[in-house]
Amino acid sequence: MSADRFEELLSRWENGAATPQELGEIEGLLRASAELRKNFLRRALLEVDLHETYSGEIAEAARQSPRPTPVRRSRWGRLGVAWAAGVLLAVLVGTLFFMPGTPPAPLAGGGPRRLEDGSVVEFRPGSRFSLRGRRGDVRQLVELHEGAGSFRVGQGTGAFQVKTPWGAVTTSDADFEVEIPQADGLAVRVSRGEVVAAHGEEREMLSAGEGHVFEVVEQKPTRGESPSEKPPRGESPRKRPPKEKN
Amino acid sequence: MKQSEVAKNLLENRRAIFGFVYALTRDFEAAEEIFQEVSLSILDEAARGTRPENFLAWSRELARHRVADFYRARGRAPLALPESAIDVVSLAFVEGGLAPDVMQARQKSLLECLAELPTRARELVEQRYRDRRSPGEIAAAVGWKLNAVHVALSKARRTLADCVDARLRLEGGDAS
Repeated sequence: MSADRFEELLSRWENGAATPQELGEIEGLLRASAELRKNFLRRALLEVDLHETYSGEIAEAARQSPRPTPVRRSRWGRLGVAWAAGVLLAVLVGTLFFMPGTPPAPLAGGGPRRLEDGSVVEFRPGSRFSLRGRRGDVRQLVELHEGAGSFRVGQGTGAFQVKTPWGAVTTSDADFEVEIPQADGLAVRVSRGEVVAAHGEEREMLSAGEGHVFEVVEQKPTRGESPSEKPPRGESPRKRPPKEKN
Repeated sequence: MKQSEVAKNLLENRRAIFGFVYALTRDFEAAEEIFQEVSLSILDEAARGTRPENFLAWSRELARHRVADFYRARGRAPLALPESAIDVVSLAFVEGGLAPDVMQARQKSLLECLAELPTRARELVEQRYRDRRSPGEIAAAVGWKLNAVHVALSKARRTLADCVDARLRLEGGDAS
């Protein structure tokens, strides 16, 4: 009986439909049964795996195939022991500020590609990037880990954001380029519209014809900004835009 | 354990740690934020010379504190388990083991299981997880009642969970 009830509660939890009373009931059942804890664990992990499976390049591969493509997801395991410790730590620190999921695969430039919101992105050959798709208020999140990319972003609902290990560039309507020069800085150039480029506490609002290079003094990447940040149109360039939470 | 080993452990166990945080918050965005904090804490502790014998258990302990901090600072998310459930969820993860190679195998199995899912079910799953639509939004998009979407999604998840377990058992892995 409790297993059936737990399954019902678990479904409601997964669907985001559980009431506080039902959440309390889940807790009670978890305390009472190792078998139910095991079931809860596998379903929680399934949720995480599903989220990650449909993120970034995995999602893109799935869309290009009529059936989900079994894409090998992790390079880290194969490379782990071979990495020099310092390199590993440096890469880790950069990686942690992105998704905890799939590390980016090195992808060739491959010419321009149109995203779901109509934006067009193009990466320099050899760049490493992940196309994360819609994230909360951000209509398209692109993670650029290495190399350079150009972005043509038309008007739409929500912000378009490019995250790098060294900062983030956010816009709602602009054409711009982002480059990670020698993997330790962030260069932004705008050819149309306005963007907000952020590096740590530093913010620059850049308009058409403007560019900015954030130089990294210490060899430590900044934390990425929340995807829910929107470009603060009309604000002073160095004013930090308010954080919003979904 | 050297700091570089801690970093390597963090990479290998990131999904297990993230899963723990997600299980407590049921909010993917919040879980990402908390996971970043946990990662920083782990690296800070490692830099201070902390050398955990059991990395995953140690990381989960740090994560527990970060989730509790998060609840205190933001208030518990309405869909999250009560803060009092942190202990029992921790227990579930401890019991589950969750070695890095098992977590890798889970992901691989899931991709294969998704390929076997009936088209309609897969489309619903894609709307939920790829397009990040709520069940209500999906219901509006496909013209179903909300409860029908809940039921269909639940069935798809059960099918996937059973399929993943079966594949793990076939491969000799732990299906927990």
